[in-house]
Amino acid sequence: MEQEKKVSFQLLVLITTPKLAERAAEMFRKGSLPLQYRFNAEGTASSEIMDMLGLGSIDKSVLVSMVPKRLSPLLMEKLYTELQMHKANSGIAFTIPLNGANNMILRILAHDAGKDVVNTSGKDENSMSESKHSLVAAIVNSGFSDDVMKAVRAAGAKGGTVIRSRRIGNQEATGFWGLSVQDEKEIVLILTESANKVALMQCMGESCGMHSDAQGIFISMPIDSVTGM
Amino acid sequence: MNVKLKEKISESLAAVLPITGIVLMLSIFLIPMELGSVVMFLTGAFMLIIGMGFFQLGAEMAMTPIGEGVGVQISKMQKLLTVLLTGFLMGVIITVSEPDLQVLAGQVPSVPNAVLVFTVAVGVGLFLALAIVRIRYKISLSMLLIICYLALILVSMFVPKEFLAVAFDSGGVTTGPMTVPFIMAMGVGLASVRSDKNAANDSFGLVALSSVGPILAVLILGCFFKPTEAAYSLTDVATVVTTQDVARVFSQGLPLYAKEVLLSLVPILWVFLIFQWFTKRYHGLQVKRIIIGFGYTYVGLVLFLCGANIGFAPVGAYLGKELAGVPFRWILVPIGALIGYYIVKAEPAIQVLNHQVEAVTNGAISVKMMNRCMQIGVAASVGLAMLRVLTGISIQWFVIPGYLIALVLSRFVPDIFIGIAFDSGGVASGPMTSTFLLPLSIGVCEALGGNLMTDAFGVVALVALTPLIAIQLMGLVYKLKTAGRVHPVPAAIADDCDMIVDLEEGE
Repeated sequence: MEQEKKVSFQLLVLITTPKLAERAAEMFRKGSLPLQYRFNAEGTASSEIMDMLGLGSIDKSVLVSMVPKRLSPLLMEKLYTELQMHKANSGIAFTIPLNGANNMILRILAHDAGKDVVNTSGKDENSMSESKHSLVAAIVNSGFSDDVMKAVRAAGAKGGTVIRSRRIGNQEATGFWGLSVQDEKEIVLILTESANKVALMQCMGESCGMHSDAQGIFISMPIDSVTGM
Repeated sequence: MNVKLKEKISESLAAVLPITGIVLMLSIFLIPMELGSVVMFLTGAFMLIIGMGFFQLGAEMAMTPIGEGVGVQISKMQKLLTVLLTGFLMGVIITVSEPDLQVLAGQVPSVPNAVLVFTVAVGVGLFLALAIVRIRYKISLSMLLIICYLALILVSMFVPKEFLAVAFDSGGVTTGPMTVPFIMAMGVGLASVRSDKNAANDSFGLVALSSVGPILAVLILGCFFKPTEAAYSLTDVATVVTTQDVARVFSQGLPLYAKEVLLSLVPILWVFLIFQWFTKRYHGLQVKRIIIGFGYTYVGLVLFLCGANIGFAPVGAYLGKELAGVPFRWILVPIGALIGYYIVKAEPAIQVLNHQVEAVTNGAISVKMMNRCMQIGVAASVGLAMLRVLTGISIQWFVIPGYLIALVLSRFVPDIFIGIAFDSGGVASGPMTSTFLLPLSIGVCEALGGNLMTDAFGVVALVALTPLIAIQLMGLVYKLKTAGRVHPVPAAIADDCDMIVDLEEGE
């Protein structure tokens, strides 16, 4: 069967303030990169005291978009300058490799997607620097993201992002609604240097693992490139 | 500077500064004010800014998590009876503690205070339970609201005319700064553990139904007691000459509000303690944060109410009185609208609602859009209230058609907008309305020699009404816009679009 020309592509994840996310979304949209999804999250507190005083966590927006791989270094560069990501607390962006999709996505991205964002197409794939970072995700019971952060601060992590979520289990619990009621979970995302990854996850496991009330599970995934750290 | 702190400071500045500016402008160009009153007003504004910041932070740290927790826990209950009972009790407890209700009770001398407070609390409790059960049995919110408001209109026929305005005001008054964040968070909690497509829509609508309760309760009381007058003592501008006077007036008032707010906060603190005892939902840091949040809420509300009542209320009354004396009285209508446009942002619960809306809709309905809508709505209502004071047209001619329009609109707008709109009515009419707008219209009314009962009251009811229409209109625009967007026709999508391509093969 005839297939679309294969484009390798990536998931570009941008975690930033709602305001900057708006600007980035606009930038992607104008550059005909239509596959983008956005949701709310919270930045974690920098210290326990600040957290207790209610001055810790700030609203964040997560913008996830699918981009052709050849464009991603330029896109990241553009994001860095447009959103002034050298400033503290402005946000981070990273890319995760994708290895499968349905044809629709490929078709959209194969054509001139994103060409308006980066009008110089001179640079080639080789300019992409190898990243030595990993994304660690801890999925814990609702309310335990504080404990996760407390644990990993010891391992040198500075901050993370919390996404409120629900677990879809194999046993359906039905509550008053007569519909399935799901356990509330929190997903803590932390970007770290790959060398530090295992230490970080061990810290999490020791205090927030399955044996604790947090009942956490932990995963890590490779990151292609990162900016704004 | 700390990002969060900066955000809160700029938010409360944005809320309070505009209305302060408007009043100062009026005092310079139209209504000369004594310097003493101006200093009082500015001190009040300063307290409002600080109070607003603390309140927002406190609501976010304490009220919202507790409300959400209660909602989630209710969702997990199995028996209808326990759900009904919990909902009812929550409604009663938080209403009894609402400081505004005591003020309302004082305004209706012919009904014994205890009877009024009790009836209103039961009213809120019943309707809150109803609101929760509605979600379970998938009764359409708009349908239920139509039934409720038709019942209201029907009962209102049997109530003395003089009493109508106060009764309709009570709905807006009882859903004050304490109840609103709590009930709204409860709605979000109820919906948050569900995954069906109605979950987001059902996050709203609790406050909406809860504010029907008090109106109905007061109207029914009105049928029995046949009250014909309401007592309202207008606070005069205290004669202040020196800065020492200013300090004295505020320090005399402060303990009063400190006690009032404490009384209203204690029941919610009890709810938290009992809830925590039973469910152990929060732990360690969270408990500490909630307790500190209670502290913030307390400090915030005391400062806010003190600043509003002592600094703002007398200026409102004075402005009203003097404005009525200007040669072109019709100017009251645009000036009222202007004040309305800016004052709604200073309502403490408004920003809580706006943030909630933005969070639940994932940004589709932004804080900015909500603010704009509320501002236009309240501007219209204060303009109308001034028109009413000038002409003496009965409140019925505004409230009944207004609600009819709102109810008809509710058949055409997306569900989520109905909940948000009807919630916002209760939210928009908070302490700023009763401490500034009400004295303003009473001042105008007194100066014109109108009937206080029928003409001046009712401003709260109007403020609670117009956002319903404004936000639903926004919903209608939203619907028309999204309907206009072309969805890809299935035929236009190529057949092989759903084919999965594995990019790893051949590597």
